[in-house]
Amino acid sequence: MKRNLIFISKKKFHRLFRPVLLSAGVVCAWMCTACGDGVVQVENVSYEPRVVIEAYLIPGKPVRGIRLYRNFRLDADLSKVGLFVDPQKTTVSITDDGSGQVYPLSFHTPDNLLELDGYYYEYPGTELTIRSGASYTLNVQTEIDGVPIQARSTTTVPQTGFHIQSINYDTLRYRQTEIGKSVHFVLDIQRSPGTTYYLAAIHAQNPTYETLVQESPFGNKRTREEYEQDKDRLANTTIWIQNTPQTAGVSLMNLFWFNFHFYDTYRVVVYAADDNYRTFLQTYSRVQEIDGNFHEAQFNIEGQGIGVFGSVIPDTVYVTVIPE
Amino acid sequence: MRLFQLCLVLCVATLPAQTISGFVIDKSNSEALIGANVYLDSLNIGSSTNVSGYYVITDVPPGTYTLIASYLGYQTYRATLTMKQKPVRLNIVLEPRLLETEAIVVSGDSIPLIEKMYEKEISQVKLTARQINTIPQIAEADLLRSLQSLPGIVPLSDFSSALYIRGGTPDQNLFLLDGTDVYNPEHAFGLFSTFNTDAIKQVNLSKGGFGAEYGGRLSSIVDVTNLDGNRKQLEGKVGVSLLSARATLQMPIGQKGSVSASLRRTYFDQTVAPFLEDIPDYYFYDGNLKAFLELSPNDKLTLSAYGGRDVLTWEFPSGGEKISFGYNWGNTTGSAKWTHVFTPEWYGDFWITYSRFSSYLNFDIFDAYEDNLLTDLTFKADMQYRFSNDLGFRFGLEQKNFDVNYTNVAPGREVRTSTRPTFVSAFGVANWKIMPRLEMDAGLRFNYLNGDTTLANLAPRLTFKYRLAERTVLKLAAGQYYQYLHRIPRFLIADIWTASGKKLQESSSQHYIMGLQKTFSTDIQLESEIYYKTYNDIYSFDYNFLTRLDAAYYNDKDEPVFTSPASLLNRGDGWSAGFEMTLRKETGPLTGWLGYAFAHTEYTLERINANRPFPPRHDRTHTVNLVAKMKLDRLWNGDSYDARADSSRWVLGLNGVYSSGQAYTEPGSAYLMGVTPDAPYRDVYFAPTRINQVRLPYYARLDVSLTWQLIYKSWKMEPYLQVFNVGNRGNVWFATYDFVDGKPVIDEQYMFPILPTLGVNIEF
Repeated sequence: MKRNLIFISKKKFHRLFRPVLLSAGVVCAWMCTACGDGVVQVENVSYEPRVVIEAYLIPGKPVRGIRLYRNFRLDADLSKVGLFVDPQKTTVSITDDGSGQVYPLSFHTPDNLLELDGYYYEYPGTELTIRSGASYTLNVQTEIDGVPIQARSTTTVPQTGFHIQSINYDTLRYRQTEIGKSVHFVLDIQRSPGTTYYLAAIHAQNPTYETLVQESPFGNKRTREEYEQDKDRLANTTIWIQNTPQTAGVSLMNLFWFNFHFYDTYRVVVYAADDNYRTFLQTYSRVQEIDGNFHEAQFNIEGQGIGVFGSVIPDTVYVTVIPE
Repeated sequence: MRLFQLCLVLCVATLPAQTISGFVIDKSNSEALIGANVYLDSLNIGSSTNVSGYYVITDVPPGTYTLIASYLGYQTYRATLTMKQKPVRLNIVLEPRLLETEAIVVSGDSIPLIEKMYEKEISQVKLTARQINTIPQIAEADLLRSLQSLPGIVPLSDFSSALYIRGGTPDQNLFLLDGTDVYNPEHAFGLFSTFNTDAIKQVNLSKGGFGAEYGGRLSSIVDVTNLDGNRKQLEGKVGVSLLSARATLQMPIGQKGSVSASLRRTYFDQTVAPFLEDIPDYYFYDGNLKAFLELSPNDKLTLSAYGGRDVLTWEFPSGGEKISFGYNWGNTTGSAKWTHVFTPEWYGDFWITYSRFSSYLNFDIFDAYEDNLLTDLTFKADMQYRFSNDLGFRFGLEQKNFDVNYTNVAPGREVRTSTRPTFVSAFGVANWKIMPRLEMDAGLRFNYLNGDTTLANLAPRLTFKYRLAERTVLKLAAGQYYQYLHRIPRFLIADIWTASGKKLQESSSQHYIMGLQKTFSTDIQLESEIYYKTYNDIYSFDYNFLTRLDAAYYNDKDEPVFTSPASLLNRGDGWSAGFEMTLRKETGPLTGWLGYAFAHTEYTLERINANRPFPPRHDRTHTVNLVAKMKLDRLWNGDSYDARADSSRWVLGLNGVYSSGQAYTEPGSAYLMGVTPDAPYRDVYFAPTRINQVRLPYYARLDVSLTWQLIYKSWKMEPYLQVFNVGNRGNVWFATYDFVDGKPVIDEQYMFPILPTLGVNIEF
């Protein structure tokens, strides 16, 4: 039988090429859809205006540094979006839940208008003193995108008792080992009764590219440009312990070598955190799952607010990391 | 004379009707054939073989009949039987047909295709190893990925072989390997399944509405039966691909038995990994061993074992010290099945099965390790009694003894959970042919769990089959299903299982399914089904579980110890509804199927989406599947093609999928804040508010394989080229959002690009 295309019979041609052409057509149609790259567009279908609350109460300290921002759309150009809520349309107050007394907060403007950290709300008077164990409620009313916004949150300040009792070393070599085992800073934390979450904020005091640790087993060497982009994140890290006993006592807090990215001296501020701050810290940065989808963070704020209204007791130590 | 005739008729009529029973086996290797059709031509009564290849036809009056047996790919068997007053035991030997004449087999087959479809349960799909092996996949054939090409079954991504069946989650699928439950049936972080396709004889998949003989899962059953082994001669199959090497050997054990063994190992760690930096050492191996012994004509013993392990080691070189991460996991299963034919009408299977899944993770840099163990020792009996051709019963008993332990120790806390519940179930099913066109299966399953509390439930099941027309069958099914095991899913590493008890309710589901089956010409089948499923007390992983953890007690370092998995899960309810259609052709030079599925699922879970309903991530509205196998030589030569004259064949395989975009959560907005009271800088974070409210771009992929079959005497060699995602489409897995210099940036993360693979299979 001849197999040359030219010599095939008409019958064979039909028998052969009908399925082949059909298959080729299907394949071509499929190929048309099964090529190119999918593109994700911002749909903004779930955007809703929210007031962002960044507020921490500290026992014995005046109420200040309460910052209110607005959220923004995923496709927003931040250079064109006002990030603060309009003070003219905003009223903020703190209520001492024990006495029922309401303390209106006023807006603080920095002398240097370019100093963004200087824009916050505060209670300028002397009547409001934050007490350990007491509860306070923050009330915010404002307007974003022409939409009236209300938010309310209550914090119960941690009980007294928390402090850093001791630390095993004040200086360690980076990834120091002793008898083959890693040695790290260990803080003995005296707990506050009822507080089960303690956060250590670790701040490098003089971070520079020259003092950046480039030998981390988890990371490649960073260029100066990469360093400049990540500098804040590298210089300021956190670690926490959670679910500690409700009772007073001592818990251990480890500061591992991977918490430090510079050969430098560090200010380590440990915070005994209330429930609001605990749930915020446990969820705010983990909203993208490992397989890529997103879920909600948990903010203990009623109404149209996100962020945190928390209370903390801080204590500070200094440690130094030197080259291996 | 008249009186004599009347007496004769009366005598014949009063003679007791008898049975014809036996096993249907493959002539080439004596393997039992599952689902073969056997019937008596003139009486139009018949049966199909069960999982052991056993059939029984009752109520056969004395007389002479033609018995016909048929099975796809085998020559139709015909025998003339004269029934007297004794039951007939007839073991039927079917001879494999040359594949090239399959279409002829069907056209000359006395059992119409619609009868085969009628015999099949609703929502059931049967696949053989041959069918699985012809579907192009990543690197090599894989059972679970092949099942993903059926309508109603979707994957979550290219990176997972997990099955989402009709809106259900992978934990709702029961995997059975020779009757043994398999937990976490995945290799290579979910890329491949633990089932070696070379060792598989048949896979029965039920996408819903399954009978009372199955229980313990809400959504589906994947029942895998491995090869018993060739009882005639040594037979082997060897395969080599870029990923792995595998071998399967079958041989007889004397005159009364056979043994089959398979081994597989990946060698990515030996070939490619040494030349790449920052790649972990990874490999897996697995093996199957199955022995079949015919103790007597009425007693058969099957011993089956499986063992497999995945091993991952990742070492970070740093200075003189090495930091290592180790993870290994795997399944071990074993079963002994005794099959006994008590009487021709009364047949029983009795099992002892053992299943063990374990994983061990070690991260020495953190002084952290994890030990995850689940064992399941099961005793079960499954009996079938055929009262008449119109009425049959199936009943059984099962006891499962679980031992579930999970330990996770890291600085600052420990997780130690342990539970040892016992699960007992009993079932009964009546199969009643109410009238020639109408048949009913009515079943009831009783479940009893004894753990830290006791739970008991009754689960009724009902199925109707009705012959609407000569080539059309209508099927209806409804059932109640319970599940007492819950999974804590994890990405890449093995899931953790836990059992219902005081803190976790049993999950339940109801299925309502209507199916219509129709045949066109001699070998084209059309199946369409609509379904509605409810879910109650289902659980999903709570990504905010940290906020809900409560320590059970504290260790000597005052670190918390957690013992309950309840706070890791969100309870909820849901429903799924959908429509599926499959056009299938199983014989001839062009085989395969075209499937379409419309589906919608909604879950309402506590603490998710402000308790509002939402579609889960795996929800896809429209899915079209195309699976085709084309024998090119045969297409070219048509009827004049003679396989015995030509020693080579070209086979083209296609696997296409198009799915509308899966549900996805777009983070509702972004915000800027400092996250510590003394924060020296502020960063951008995201605040999702509505879950899975948008859809990712559509998913489309076309895989192609080209196989060259070279046949020499009893040897067959098949070099093949497979190209996964031949269009190199960038199917979006997810997106990351960021702001760089104040400008929004969206970065799509894509799934697998084009992946070509070469391999060769050798059979002898």
